[in-house]
Amino acid sequence: MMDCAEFKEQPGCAEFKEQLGCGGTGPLDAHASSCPGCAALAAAFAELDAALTAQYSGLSAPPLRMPRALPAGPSMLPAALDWIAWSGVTACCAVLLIFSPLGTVLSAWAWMILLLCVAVACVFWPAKTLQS
Amino acid sequence: MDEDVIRCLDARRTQEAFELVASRYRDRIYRIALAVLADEGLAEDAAQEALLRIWKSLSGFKRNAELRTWIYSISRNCALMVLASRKARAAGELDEDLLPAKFAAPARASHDVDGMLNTLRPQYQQVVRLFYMQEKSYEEVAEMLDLPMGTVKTVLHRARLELATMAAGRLMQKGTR
Ligand SMILES: [Zn+2]
Repeated sequence: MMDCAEFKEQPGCAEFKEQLGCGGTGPLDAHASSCPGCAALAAAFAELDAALTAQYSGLSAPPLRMPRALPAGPSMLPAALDWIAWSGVTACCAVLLIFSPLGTVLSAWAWMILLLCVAVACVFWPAKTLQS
Repeated sequence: MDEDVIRCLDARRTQEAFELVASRYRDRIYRIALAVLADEGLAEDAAQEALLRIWKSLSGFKRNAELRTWIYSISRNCALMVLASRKARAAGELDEDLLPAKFAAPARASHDVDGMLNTLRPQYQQVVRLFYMQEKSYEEVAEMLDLPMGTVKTVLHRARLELATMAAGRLMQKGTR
């Protein structure tokens, strides 16, 4: 006759015998019929199995956000702001030069420098931005 | 199983490869997170983070590993990271809501199976939850938690015995009242 320790060694008692390859349930049933403690244990196993199955079986993930595309390249904004700032500084220097006492002498040069800066910026800034 | 994903990766169609991975594994990624964290909200965050990490590093996936093993490992790491940050916050704030499941309030009634589950040690909880989520497949639980099959079987037996003993004790208490 099976004792309580042996009964508890049967993994999951009767309801799990298929997965765990336990023997027949005859000795288990025989023990449970004469032992209220193990009968309660077997009943609790069955109840637990049903409750856990109901709670977790086939549980699906909630809707998750899917990343759609590879991250965009770096933003053009800092480069554009850089360009605007440096253009402003260049223009201010040119204006100061034009209206300074040297202006009458240097104004032609100042305009040329200003135009040169703008031309260089227009060519190199987009080239540099596209490259990065 | 994942040959189509590998083919996409070989052809540098990373986005398509990711979509295949996401549709195939999202439930399992979430289940691993839920098994570890025992909290749906946190599990969702961890699953989201895992998907993002997979997406970022999928193009660099080394072919000498199994894709699913790699995915499960990222999922576990993300869940454990969330768990660690939750524990750190709980230690700092001593907020009862943030305490790990292990220290949560005891189950109120015998049918409160999750409450009883929360009193088991974390590894037992994880194995039991995942076992039921994965339709009682020992192989999948072993693979998803990176545990030997023998360990899964032993843990599961002990965990269910503990739970059943708890539940049976309560049933008998009720009966004698
Ligand atoms: Zn007995």
